[in-house]
Amino acid sequence: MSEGRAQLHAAITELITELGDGARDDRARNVLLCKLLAWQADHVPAYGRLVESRGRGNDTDPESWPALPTDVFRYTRVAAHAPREDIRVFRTSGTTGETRGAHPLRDLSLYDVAARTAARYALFPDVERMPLVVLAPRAEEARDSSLAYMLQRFESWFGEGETIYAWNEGVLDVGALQAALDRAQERARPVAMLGTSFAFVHAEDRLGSRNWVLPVGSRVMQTGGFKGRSRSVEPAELLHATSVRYGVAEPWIIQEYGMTELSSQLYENSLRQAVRGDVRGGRRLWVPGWMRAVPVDAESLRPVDDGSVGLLRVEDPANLDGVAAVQTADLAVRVEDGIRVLGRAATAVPRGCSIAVDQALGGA
Amino acid sequence: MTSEAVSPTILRELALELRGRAAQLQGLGSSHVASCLAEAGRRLANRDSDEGRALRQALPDSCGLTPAMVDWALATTLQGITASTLQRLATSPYRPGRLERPPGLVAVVLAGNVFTAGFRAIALPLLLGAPVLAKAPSRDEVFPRALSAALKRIDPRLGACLEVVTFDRAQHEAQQTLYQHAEAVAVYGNDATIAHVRRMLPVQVRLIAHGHGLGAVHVPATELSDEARALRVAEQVAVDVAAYDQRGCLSPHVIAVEPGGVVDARGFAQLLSERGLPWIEERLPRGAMPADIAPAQMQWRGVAAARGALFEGTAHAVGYERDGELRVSPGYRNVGVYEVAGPEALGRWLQPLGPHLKVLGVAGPLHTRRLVAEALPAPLMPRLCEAGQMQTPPIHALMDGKPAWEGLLRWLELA
Repeated sequence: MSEGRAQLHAAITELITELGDGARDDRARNVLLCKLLAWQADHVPAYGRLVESRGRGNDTDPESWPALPTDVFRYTRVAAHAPREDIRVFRTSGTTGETRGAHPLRDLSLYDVAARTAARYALFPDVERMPLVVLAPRAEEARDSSLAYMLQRFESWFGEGETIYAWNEGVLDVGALQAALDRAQERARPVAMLGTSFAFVHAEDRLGSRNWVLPVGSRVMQTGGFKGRSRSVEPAELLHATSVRYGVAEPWIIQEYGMTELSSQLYENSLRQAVRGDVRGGRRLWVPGWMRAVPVDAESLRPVDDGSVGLLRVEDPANLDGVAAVQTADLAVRVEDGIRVLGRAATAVPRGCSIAVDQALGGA
Repeated sequence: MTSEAVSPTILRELALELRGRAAQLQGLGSSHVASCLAEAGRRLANRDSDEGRALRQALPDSCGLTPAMVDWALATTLQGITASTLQRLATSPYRPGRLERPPGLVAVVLAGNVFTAGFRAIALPLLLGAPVLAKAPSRDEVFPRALSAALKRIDPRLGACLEVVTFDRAQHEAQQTLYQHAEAVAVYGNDATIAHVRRMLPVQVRLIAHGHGLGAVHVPATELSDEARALRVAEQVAVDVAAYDQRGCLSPHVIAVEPGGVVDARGFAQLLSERGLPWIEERLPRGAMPADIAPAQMQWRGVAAARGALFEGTAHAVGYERDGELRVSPGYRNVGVYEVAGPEALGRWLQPLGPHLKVLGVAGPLHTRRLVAEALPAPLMPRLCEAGQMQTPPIHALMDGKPAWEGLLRWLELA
């Protein structure tokens, strides 16, 4: 028997809250995920059709349920509710000519509780609030950006004083950035720099020889790759450059993994480990206790062995009104108690067929 | 089997030697050349010949197709080739007052997805009296080298007019050398490859581009009038989908089923998946899935399932999206079935593919194909054939609506 939405919402909120401090209850999580996927099979038409093709799962193992590939979000609506109930629609950035994926939401409360809980654990484990410097668009400029929304919420949850936005209308505001960093240095007040990886690369290109030594406790969160951008930088290179530029120790610079199609986020664990003086193992993404992140074989879609590279399957119960099991095309590997994302597998243009054909068909 | 990449210096020497043999080749006459090529084809197709055995041993590893598929490819492409069909391939319409000049040297850049395509690509210039310097794909040079070796054995004079080389496409100097000594360059590959070659060609060298494309299938309602007939069509279509593991430019990626039959489009999709494709898979198993295709397959199948229905087998999948927008599949036996009403609607539906639509398989008799052909709007100019025969065109078939010799021969008007 499938539970009603209200009951599921309450159970998901409770699970996230209970596991927000790093606790684990995999059994409870798995049972809830299965209940949610069963409900979604009955209420989300796109997912229901996938389940009809691949078969319904069981009550205890989320992997028994199929995961919806991210491309589906570009081709059809993925939602349990009608469009008139949308209060927000997040969209993927998309490359030139490509149809953008859409994640419609009728309720942002689960998104908020998941985002706040994970960020508190991994990004702000040691402070209630601090000044924020954002290298990403404001939510008003990018209403369909889930990242912009999340950072706007960070401003109200974790920000202190005025949040500086150093990315305006698609361009780095070098002056605002420099002023904010000068101020932090002068006042000896640590700041959190939050933004996209390519914005930080832009900053590298524009700041010339200026460096800072930000006060201890300052931190950096970077997110996203370089798809469709004119320049890309290796992660290790960007990490080092960021550390040198802003005078922030490398463990305090972390990557955030988020997707338009998800409601929860994953963060690298090095900052929290540094705060607790408990540095163990290499960099990896912490998977919140309410989620599952499993690399799977690209052909069989079954989990690969530990240490092997697979396509990342993510299960996120905060996706109540969409689909809780998403199959990405990101290459990932399980590492100790987390995962490492290695890049994205090409899935756009099949081998042997021209780009022109794809463009002729609308580039979808 | 791969050989060492050739240096620009060696390439230049080969090109000059080959140009020097043009008169010798023309002196042999197209009839003799056709006979030798037909004999080479016969030897390569023959399972019991030395050449045939060696090919069947080497090809599965180099091209990634299963032994059964390699055998089928060789048999269906080469066994029907005779000297007379080859002569027909090279016959151009003579007009009084026009002088026809074959190229002094043709460079042929081969693609790696359908190895048998190399036979016609190499045979054609030789038949027209033009020596050939063929660049084989670096990951699979087995077939062109086997053809070259066979010709050398059959007639060393003819064999001396063909050389097969290989080098990485990153070798800029080798590419320049190849192109600057040829009078015409025939390129088989995707649009990126063709664009790359076009940029490198000296202005005096003609480019004959054979870009990649795809096929489509049309199943009229009349062919789905009962289950038995529908099954026969499903088996025919399965051959078209399965051949060369759906990697080539004649492989169908979409199937347009006309509503109104006893078996509807969704039913046909299910029939193809549950009966047609398993039937052909027993006879022609699929090769291994390349690592870079599996993610695309994952996405394509998911969209098909989410928008309509997905019928999956062990080595194939058939999607059904009713009236969804046409989506190209990643190949490797993934194909989409759509509902499209009649020839006029079919033409409109296929129109965006333009010249990339190389072949349209139509289930049913010739008059059905004629109806479909008459409704096809510009710029569509595929070859129309019966379903089941999409990947076995006769050697003399038009390519992109043009005769085989077009672009290779230089015509001079004598006023």
